[in-house]
Amino acid sequence: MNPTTAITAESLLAELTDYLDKLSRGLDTLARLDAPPPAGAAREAVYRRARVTLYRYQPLHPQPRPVPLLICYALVNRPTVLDLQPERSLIRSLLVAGLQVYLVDWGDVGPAERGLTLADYIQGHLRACVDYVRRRHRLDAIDLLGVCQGGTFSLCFTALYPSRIRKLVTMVAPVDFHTPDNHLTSLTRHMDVERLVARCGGYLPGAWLNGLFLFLNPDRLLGWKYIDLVERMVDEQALRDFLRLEQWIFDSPDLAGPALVQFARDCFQGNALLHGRLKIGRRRVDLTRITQPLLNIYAERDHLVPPAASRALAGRTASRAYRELGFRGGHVGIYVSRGASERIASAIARWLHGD
Amino acid sequence: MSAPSDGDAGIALLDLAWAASSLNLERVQAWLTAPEATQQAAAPSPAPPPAALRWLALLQQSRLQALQALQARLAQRAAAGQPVARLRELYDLWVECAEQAHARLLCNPEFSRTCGELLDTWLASASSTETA
Repeated sequence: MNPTTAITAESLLAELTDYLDKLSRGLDTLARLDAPPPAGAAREAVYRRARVTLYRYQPLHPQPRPVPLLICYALVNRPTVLDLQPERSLIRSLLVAGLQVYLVDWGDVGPAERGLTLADYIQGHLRACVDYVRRRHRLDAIDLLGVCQGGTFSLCFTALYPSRIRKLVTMVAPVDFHTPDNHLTSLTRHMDVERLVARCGGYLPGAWLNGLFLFLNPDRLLGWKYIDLVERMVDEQALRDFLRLEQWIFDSPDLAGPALVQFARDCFQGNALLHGRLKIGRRRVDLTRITQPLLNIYAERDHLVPPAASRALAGRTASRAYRELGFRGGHVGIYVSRGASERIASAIARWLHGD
Repeated sequence: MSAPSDGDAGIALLDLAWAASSLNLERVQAWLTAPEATQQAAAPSPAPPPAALRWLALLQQSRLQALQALQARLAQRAAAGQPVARLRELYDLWVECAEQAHARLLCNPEFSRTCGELLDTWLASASSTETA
């Protein structure tokens, strides 16, 4: 026995035998699993612009609130994580809380989309979706929820077109990209993203981003996660939940070259949004043009967007009703952990409609 | 040479992440020289690029710090009369120490610069194959 542990040959053998037994039973469960049924809330595509689709979710409340909420997600992953399964769905919880919900799905980046810029996404696609919802509901301004990179986009959009947004919610959105604990910035700060994109043919395959995200925590994400899974593999539901999330994690869409290069250069490397130097198209993004009530939600154990990166928004806008909400969890847990979606959705609904 | 497919890129980068956690220089080198690997299988291996050596040295340093932290934690537990009794507990403790050390590594400006150089090396290697 090693003097610093109480592990003995006998205990080791017993533990390994038990582990292999769980693995064997877990593999049986895996072999029995059917393809999971569609789990998302009912929705319809109400508007399409190139590969971008605007979805409207069927309300789940008899008297939904009159001002709809448009969700803008990041380019780097699919928005399906917001509605992975009924009991872990931010979107479903928002619907239950009485909101009318729309979602911008950026779609895949095919050869025709590889040249898209940030201006194309924010001043083109996002603006068209906001205007569609405004027209449909005959409103001058709607509510906007920006998630992760979509939060950064939403801040840009609201600063550029303030009259179109009534209230703004940002969730795990990076604002200050140069906080000392921002590992993604540290990893990419000296990377020549423009050359990399050129090398890849004008875009960045989604698989590259997956690799980058995994490298932020390889021991946990490439090892521990799968070792730990074996403990729960006999439980069909737990295994199905795990697979759904895995499918989402490794289904990152490709990224349009110019948009990625500008985001990496101006935000990750230059921190231009915070310092008022970010330009979308020919227009400078001035955060002080945001006067709307603003709810800024961050995750306290976020390893991708550290809390300080989100909380840097405080005092940077001209909003006189700025509020922060910290959530005890990580970047993905904020959408998918059991109970979290109800708590967050209920806080958003209360804040948006003031009761 | 054509641009890599999504699958190729993903596998290459996953391989690099594995190389990082296993401190495997040959795999890092293979990643950097992947474009040539199939065409020059018979050629002698080139010397590892300096950026790869620096990158691995920093990773190695990080793993060493993780190991030292693990030893300290084990000793603390033993001294408190609560020694680690299960292999799984030991593994969890290792992952905790390793991720803390890796987080410090990611914040290290030298590592950040080296990552940039490593990518430059790969890009140069890829473009030299294209022009060859």
